[in-house]
Amino acid sequence: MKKLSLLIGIFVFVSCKKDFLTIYPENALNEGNFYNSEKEYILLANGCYLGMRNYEKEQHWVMAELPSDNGSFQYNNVTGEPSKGVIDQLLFVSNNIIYSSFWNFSYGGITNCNKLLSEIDREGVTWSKESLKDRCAGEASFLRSLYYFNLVRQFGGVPLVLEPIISSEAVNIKRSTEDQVYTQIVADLKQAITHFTAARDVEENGRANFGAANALLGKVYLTLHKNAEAETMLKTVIDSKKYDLLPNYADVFNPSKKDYKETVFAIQYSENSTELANRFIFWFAPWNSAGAVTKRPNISIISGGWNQPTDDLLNAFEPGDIRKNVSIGIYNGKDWDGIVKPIPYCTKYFPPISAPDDRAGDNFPVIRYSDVLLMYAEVLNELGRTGEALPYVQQVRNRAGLTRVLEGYSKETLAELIAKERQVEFCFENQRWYDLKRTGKALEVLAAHGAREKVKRTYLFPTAFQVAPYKLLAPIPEIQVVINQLEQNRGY
Amino acid sequence: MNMLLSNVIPAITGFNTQIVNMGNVRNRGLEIALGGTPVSSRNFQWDVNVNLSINRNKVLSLNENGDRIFSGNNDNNSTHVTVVGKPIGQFFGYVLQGLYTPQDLSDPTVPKYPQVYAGAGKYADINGDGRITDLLDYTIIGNPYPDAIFGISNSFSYRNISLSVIMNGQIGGQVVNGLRQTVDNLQGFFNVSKEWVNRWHSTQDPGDGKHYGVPSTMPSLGHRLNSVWIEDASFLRIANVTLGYTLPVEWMKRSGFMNGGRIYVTVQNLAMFTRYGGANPEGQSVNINNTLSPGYDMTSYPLSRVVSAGLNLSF
Repeated sequence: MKKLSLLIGIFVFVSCKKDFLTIYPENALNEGNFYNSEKEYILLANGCYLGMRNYEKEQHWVMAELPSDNGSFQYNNVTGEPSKGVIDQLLFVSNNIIYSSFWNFSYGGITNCNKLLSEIDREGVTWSKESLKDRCAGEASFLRSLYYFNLVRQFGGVPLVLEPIISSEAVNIKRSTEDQVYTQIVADLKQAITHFTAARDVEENGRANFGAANALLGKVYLTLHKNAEAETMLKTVIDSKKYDLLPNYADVFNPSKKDYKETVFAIQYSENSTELANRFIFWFAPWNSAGAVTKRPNISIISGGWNQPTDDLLNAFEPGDIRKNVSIGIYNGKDWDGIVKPIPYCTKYFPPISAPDDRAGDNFPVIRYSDVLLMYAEVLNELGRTGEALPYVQQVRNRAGLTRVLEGYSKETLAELIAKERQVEFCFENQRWYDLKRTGKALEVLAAHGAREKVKRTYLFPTAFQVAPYKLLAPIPEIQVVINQLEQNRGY
Repeated sequence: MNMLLSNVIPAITGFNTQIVNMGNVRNRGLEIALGGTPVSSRNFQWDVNVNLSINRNKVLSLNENGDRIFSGNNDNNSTHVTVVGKPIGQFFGYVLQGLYTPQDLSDPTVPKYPQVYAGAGKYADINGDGRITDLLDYTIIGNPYPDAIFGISNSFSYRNISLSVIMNGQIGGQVVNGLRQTVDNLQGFFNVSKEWVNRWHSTQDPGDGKHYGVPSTMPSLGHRLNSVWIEDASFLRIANVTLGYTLPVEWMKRSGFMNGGRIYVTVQNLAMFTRYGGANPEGQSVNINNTLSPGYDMTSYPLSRVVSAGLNLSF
């Protein structure tokens, strides 16, 4: 009897333990048993790339290329897909799934970055090399800044979440100002550069690194028109001698030669699984081309025909520009109206022949060395050093087969040349919309572009291409306006 | 009664939904069953049984802030809302007020959405901000729960002939006609229902005001859940009719080896009286496992009518 009451006593004592309800299962990875060694942190760092790997597939080009004068769509009266086509026509509605997906993927990625940064200094974790820890921290800082950079360029000020939060805290986090977001982006990138400086011995192809962080910070400064700071960052990348232009422009986009000479940072895709793969060519090939373009007659592309090169883009290429045929293909076929005509399509991303189904493994470039060169030229020109800027533009043009010697440029005419050069060099690389915004030319260019499109494409909405300053920011996803009680952008 | 609910949370947490144990719902009801034999004579008997049940549920609390919970999904848009003070999972969408005329398009005081065109659906501006916005201009447009459900069974017998008739039905309650929502689509992708003859053609021929014109462009908000597809789910169904004839005992005896026998004919689902345009007002094949989004009939399979005849012999 005595034994029994002792047992009950122990039982009562044990069941009164306060953390009775915080038991972690032992047979699966979870919060309680995860952080043991560097292996888990490297997994977590890999997870930080997830959000952008997802949104670059189907959302980012819709938001950064379609609304610009580069990308359009092939009208499809069968699927009539409403969420992407409206964005091309500058009809931005807050409940478009594109915005909410982009938002959700972004904050999913940011959450992973925040988690890594908040757990990286845990005691009792053994690191084989201290530099690996720096690499992980650098990646998280870099990627968080890139998520916020894309968010702020799309939506303006967004909620700034820098730590893991729970839902009751989230409802109290409102939108920060654009300045606050940019301040954080700069701080994160400086932090990333510090970490990457200490992690140069463990750099790996495909991971964010020292060069990527400097180049991105250069781009952020350029966007903020902080030209002197941008010059320093971009010069660091050029002076590192790590990067160079590939002699052949097409090789940059050749999935069988995953490039790390010209590519400073790219979203990595692999054809090994659906999650790891993109399906750009299946989105971009004319939807009526069956297997003629994709070489995959078994894959339905009836919802394809996106990111179609516009006349404005086709005309932007100078005669003899070898980039035109690398970036744009022409398919002769019967269009939606039954008329056979040459249908242009984006051919920068092509699946390797080994891909078994609709999986493609081409990386999506975020920053290339030619971007660094043209940004550097832009910065020098803005600083009034037009003559100094010319060789960098020349370098990019020479590779494209445009060897005319550049001379006699004023600040204004060179700015125009650089803008045009960027339009064709980076077409379908999610740069054009941001470039138009940064250079202040968006409203003017889009008004002219829209007028031409409305004449050519009679099936557009009557309200298509109404250009207005408020449209330079995308609407905050409606569900977040309601649930998170965020303020909507003006005009929406 | 406590509910485990999938609460929608701000995406800045890195997640979109969270299971919370915060909801509280009250279920109250009344069930009545009556039985009787109105007529009973030597040759004729009539038995009748009637049951009626009336159930009401009401959400008493939801989450820490009492926020609405959105549920269901159609083209990325919620189809149901759960709010304190109402039954769970009310239909949630636009109220169709007619179609836009060319005059409306040029009149800035008429609330519009960006993808508007003449002949497109004109929805009510619920929040009064002068424009039509998904979610913000959605409102409760229907209740999936019936006022009452009932069953009636009658059985008659006259000499050797017996007849039983079982009927059931519901009074009140609504259902989303998901089939119509799908095929109300003039892209040339599906067949369309015959009411589309009365669609908007032009200012002179505006149709019945419920069916938008062929989009000159591409579909815009034509597919959002709106009041047009909410239909009355009241029905009366003759679920089973059986007519039988018991073979006279003398015949059996005369045969020398049989004790009894019966011939019958049964019809299941003989008739359904309803104003619902879909196949089955009780059917729902979307979100069937989600208590927060009931009553969405997405082409559920129609009930089949079964006629069977039989002969029972006992030896």
